[in-house]
Amino acid sequence: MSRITHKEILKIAAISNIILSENEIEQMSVGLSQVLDYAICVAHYFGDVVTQKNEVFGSFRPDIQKIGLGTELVMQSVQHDADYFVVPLILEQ
Amino acid sequence: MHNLSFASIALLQDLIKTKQLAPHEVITFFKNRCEKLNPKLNALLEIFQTNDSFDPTSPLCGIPGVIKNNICMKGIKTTAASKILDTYYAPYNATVIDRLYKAGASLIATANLDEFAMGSSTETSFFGATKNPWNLSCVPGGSSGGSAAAVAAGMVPWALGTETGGSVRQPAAFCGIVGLKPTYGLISRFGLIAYGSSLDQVGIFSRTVKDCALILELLAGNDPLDTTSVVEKNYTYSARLSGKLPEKLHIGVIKNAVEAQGIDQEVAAAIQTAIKAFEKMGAIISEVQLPTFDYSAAAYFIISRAEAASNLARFDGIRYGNRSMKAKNLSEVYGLSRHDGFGPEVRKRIMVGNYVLSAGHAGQFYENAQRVVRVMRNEVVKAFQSVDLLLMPTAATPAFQSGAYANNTLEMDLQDYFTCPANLTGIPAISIPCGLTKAGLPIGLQLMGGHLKEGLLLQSTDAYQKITDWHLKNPIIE
Repeated sequence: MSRITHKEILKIAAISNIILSENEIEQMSVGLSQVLDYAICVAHYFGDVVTQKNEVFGSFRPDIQKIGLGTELVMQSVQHDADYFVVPLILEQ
Repeated sequence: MHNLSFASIALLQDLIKTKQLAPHEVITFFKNRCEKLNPKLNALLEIFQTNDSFDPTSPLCGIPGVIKNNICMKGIKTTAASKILDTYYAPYNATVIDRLYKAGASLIATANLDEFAMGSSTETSFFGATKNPWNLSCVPGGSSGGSAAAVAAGMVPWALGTETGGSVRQPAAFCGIVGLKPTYGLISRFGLIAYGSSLDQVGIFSRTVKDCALILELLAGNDPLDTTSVVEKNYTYSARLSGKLPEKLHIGVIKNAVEAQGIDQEVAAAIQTAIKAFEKMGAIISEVQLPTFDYSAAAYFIISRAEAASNLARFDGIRYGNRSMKAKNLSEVYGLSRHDGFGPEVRKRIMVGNYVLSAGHAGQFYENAQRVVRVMRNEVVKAFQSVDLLLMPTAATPAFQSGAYANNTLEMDLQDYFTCPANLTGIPAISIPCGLTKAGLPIGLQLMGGHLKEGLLLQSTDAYQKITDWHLKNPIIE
């Protein structure tokens, strides 16, 4: 079984906006690996079974990882605090 | 004297029409039964104090039903069995609720479910697991397990559930009742808390196929509030129920499904007996091979989780959902609200969804899953050129013990193996009871029809119920 790494779990948790404890990261690593190891058979389908299915290809843009803007954009804003934009209060507390 | 607990809608309608029972007497009877049995089953989340006014001309006058708690009912707590929506009261009715009220239905309770409809056992509910009325140590299936258990236990004659990968048919099979997933778009999804939008459908539980046809007639129809809603000319289903199969009905038995590894022997035997019953009624039986069905569970895992990740992004403690009080900054508001509000299964599905959509992995997973579905759809269209209906088991096994898959969530996920092809291809499918195991647990038979062929499905399964009595068997729970 291929194992989703600790680092990958942290990355996906960040994308998912979910904070996980160390124990949960370990459990999630096992859980995700189980599902993804099974699900990868969809990739094998086209390799193993189908040789010519032209009508189903070419419908997606290339799956290329792009480097995000990071904090550069935030630093150029009028007000910022660490990695976040600061938005003026609308209602006084 | 009739046993009202397990009476069909048709019988209750007759008793009310002939004034043997008043509508309020029927409602009171079932509410009392709900109050009595729910502590044992935990099938219902809330039983309402309703002040019904009855219109005797309405088709569902005096007929009670329950609604899965991920369908919005105005002023009613609509939690999707999640802590994150524990304080959410729906400000509007789903279209199906409006249509049911228009038909005079008395909606007496909300039904338990797996959190956000993610599960196959109704064990992931924040409000506790539901039990199977046939055996309290077993699960009722899921995610619409509360609705299924309520109908099976005779708490109500019908209920609404929802499907993304089999969440109506699998619990219907586990609880020995009828469960219908209609064609994608036939019943409006407006007001349904979304899980996988390209797959989600409202479905119907009932004791008989005839009752199912009646409820479907009331719910089906175009809804301008749901852009995926189809426009169909004919929504009449009851009139087709002649008690006989259509002439020269051709049923294709999906060979690679009925012979799949891991099918329980008693389930396999019951399916073979049902096939013979259809043959005896005049159906032409042949075997078909649908190779992509073997890949459907994998494709379903990927697509449903990807859509779940997107749909559930809105529950962040700001736009929707309870907010964590422990958060010290914006990032923690999101992260802790979602961590504390979602259960482990929901968190896992969101993370799988984001993984398969993330750059570098989307090509391997999401794109290939979409391609498999495209091939599967072509395969199904081709199959329906030579057969009228497709047949296979609803589930590989009867209801399993509670907690059986606590340490093997993949096995739990694979409960959708036989049901998810209908969701991925958008076609209608029904599960009907076709046997009992030696241990007394129900077995479900699944039939699938072509796009908008609900009439044919219902006619054929109604004919089956005319010559069998599996739908008349009831659990003993008192």
